[in-house]
Amino acid sequence: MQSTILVCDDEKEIVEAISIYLEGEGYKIIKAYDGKEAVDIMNSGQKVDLIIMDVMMPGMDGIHATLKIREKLDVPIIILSAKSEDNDKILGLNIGADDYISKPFNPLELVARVKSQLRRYMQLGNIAGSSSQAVFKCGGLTINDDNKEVFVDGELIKLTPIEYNILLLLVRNAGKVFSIDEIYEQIWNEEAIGADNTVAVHIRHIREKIEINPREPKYLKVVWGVGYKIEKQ
Amino acid sequence: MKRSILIILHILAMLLVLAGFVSLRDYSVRGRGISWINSSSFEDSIRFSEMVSSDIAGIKRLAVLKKAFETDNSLDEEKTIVTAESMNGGIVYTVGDILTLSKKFGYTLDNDSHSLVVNRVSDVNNYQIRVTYKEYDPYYFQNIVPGPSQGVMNIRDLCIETLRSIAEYYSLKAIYDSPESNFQYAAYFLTDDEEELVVSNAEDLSSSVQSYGKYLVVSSDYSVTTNIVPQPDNIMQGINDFPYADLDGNVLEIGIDTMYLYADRYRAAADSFEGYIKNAYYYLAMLIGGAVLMLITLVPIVRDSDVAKTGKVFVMDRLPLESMILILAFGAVAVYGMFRIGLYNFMEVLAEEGSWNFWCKTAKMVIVYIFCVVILCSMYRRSYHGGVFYNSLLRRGMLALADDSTDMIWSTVAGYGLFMIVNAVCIGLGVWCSMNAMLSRFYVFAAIMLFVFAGAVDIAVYVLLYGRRKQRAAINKALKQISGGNVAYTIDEEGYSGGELEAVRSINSISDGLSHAISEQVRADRLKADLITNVSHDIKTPLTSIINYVDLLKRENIEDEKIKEYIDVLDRKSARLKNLTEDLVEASKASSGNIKLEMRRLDMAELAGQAGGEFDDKFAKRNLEFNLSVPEEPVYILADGRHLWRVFENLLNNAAKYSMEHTRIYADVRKENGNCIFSIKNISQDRLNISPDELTERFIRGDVSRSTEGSGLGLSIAKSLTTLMGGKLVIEIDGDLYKANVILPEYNEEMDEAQKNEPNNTI
Repeated sequence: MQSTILVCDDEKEIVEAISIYLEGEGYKIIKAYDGKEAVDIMNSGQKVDLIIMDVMMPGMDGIHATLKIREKLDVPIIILSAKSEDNDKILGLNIGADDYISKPFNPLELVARVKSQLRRYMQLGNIAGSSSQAVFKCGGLTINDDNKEVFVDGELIKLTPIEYNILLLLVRNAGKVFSIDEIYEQIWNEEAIGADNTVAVHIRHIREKIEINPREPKYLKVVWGVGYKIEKQ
Repeated sequence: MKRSILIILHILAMLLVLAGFVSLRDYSVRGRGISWINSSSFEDSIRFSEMVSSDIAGIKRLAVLKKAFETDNSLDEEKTIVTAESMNGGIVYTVGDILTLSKKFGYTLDNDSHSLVVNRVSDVNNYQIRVTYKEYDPYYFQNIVPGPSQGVMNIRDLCIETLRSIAEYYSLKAIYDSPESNFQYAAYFLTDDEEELVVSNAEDLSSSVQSYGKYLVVSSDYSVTTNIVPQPDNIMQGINDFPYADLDGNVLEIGIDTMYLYADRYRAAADSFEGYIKNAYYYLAMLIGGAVLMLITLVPIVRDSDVAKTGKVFVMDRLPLESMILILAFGAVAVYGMFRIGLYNFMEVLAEEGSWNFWCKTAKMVIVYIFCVVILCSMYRRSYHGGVFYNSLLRRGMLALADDSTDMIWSTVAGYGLFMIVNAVCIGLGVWCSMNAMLSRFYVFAAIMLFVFAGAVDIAVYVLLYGRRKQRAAINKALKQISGGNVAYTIDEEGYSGGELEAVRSINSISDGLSHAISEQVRADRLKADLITNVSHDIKTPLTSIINYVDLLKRENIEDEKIKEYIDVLDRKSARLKNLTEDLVEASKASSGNIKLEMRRLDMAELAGQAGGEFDDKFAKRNLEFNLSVPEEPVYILADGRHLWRVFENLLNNAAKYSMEHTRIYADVRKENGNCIFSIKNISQDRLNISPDELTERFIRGDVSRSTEGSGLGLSIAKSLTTLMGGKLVIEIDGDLYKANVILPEYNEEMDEAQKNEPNNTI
């Protein structure tokens, strides 16, 4: 099924470039050049599966457009902005955006995030239906402990047994912060002595596998100087 | 000439003066200046007067002893001389008793020399008695204070004392009893038994006394007639021993035959005086010559002293002139006082009584002389430092009066003066009233009121002064606070007045100005950071297009190697531009402190472990071995985890980028003196021809960056962030060894409190 994506940015070249990338992935693109236009398109009743919205635009900016759209629709919205400060990201996510990409962006990351959002949007509920005791969910992250499978936004992720055990430990205790030593003792069942990179390295590998951008993890968060945790969602 | 020789000469001259003075003085004639040296006789000299004086003393002593020991002109062994108390009750000793007892102890009198002879030391039973009266010591009874231990002595000592008195009696008798003497006298005393006692060696002297060459007569009304100059000073002192008898005629008659018919002490003295007078001129020459030599040597000693040449200054030269003179004068008086106490005892032993006065005067002179020389030296040194009077209270006072702040001085003087006057008047009147308290109740009441009033005034002044002192302390505290960096510190003006109020206002305006300037500075820094942020947003939009279209170009199937190469350059440079813009924003925010910190308790060791894990691949890629050592227990610090990670990340990133391949990177976490330190060491691949400061201050100083990948701002960011979190980033470079230390204070509970009390931690 071909998804339709609304791309809204005042820079025509950027809209064009994004279109090229996404069309290459087989998506149908609708272009808009300011917030007003995007809101009008959404109000016109066209089928749109995902919106990529710039923030700084003349006329109606992306924040207002998002708010307007959110009044009626829960279509996934990815904010795309030159503002990369934490405050800007938090603002964007708080007003109802589902993801945030800062400019200049990596085309691959953009595509990955679009895919992820679409999968979640489309397949929401599919896996939830087959829930059993052995299934742990955390946002887009699903672990089926019966057959030791991990899904991120419905996509199967391959983890090594140790990585799987670490992730399971964290997901089962979502929100709790585990220090390196605690994780080591829980997984390897022996006392942690001295400094060893092992746990930290495994954590990074897990992040690389389950996160779109491991430097800005969405699920497996690093609490610097304290430990690691899975964000409760 | 050498200074030491000069000083020795000076002292010799001083001794010469002293010797001349001593020699001249002995026979000088009072009241005639130095003229006696030409024509003078022994009878006119001080020496003569002193001899008469000592003879008068002898007569008086003889009278006392005669009364004690003698009946009808000879020693009476039956006479009671001592009364005492012993354990067996009162005892009375006669002269005979004492002589017998003394013999038992082995003491006898030598009849020729009138001195005490010790024959043998016997261990005859010695015992203690309490002597209540001694006939031969009329002062004794007055001097002892009645009390259980007063006057207690042992019997042997009493014997010795009594025997000595008897010996004295004999020797005085030998001198004064003989009529064959140039010294003829008659003295009439009244003993303490109210009996008349006559001591004399001449018959019927009263008619002939004025015919003697030198005479002295004390009449019944105690008027003195004499031709002896100076008049002996102990004529009237006799009254303290035994008073003169209450007679119609004279009470003391002394006549001295100046022909010196008898060979006695007067003739011997007169003969030696004749020999002496011949030498008087030499003595005078000694005195004058010595004095001149003293002056001659003094001038170079003072002038050529090294001190004057080198401009060296003593502590005393820094004091105001008047204070120095005052202090030295006190010193001189103190020295003289000690001299009196200490040396008097020596003097009494070494010098005759007649010369004591002289020695005292000499000592005074010497002390005054030294005092003057010291002041002279100091004044000379002062002349090298702005003049003799440059540092004097007089000059200061005059300058102060000439100053602008005259008003202040006068108000202080007037206030203090008023305070003193009120006190003096109240206390004076009060004392006067209390002295008259007998007369009337009113005076008692008035005295009390005056004292109370004076006390109240004093307390009020104290309270006022204390208040002022407190205010000044508050002002000092404010100044300290402001100079210590707390520029917003102000003082509440309430309660202040006068000069203090002015000071408080000035301080508050300084504090206002400073905090205004600083907030202005902070605002400017923030504006700068905001400007950079905004500019970077504007750069990012076109940069996005560049990066995306370069990426799209790369995806095109381009065969041409040249074009491929160009695209590669574009790709790399646009990536670098992206890094630069991001780092630039971060660096500007970090260095201006425009960052929100979320401080919480962290384990530095945990963070180091996490960082190590993050960089595992990067290190492996360049064959670097990462060695981390951390203590077993957590190393807690208070920091913002994300920002501290950024610091660690930058440091590890540098290590990963610039280390020589196949080397080891050592990192460790440790506690040291209340600080927690993360340090990382690596061997640099390239020469480190750059100073640590240049590495960390690139952003601020705008140094030329090394043309490698990255912005070169990493260390600058790391340093700013560490500083913001209250720590330090120290970079050390030792040859190719590169070492970075992140130093943060160890966590304690107080930090949490401080953190809570300071909710607005956005600096």
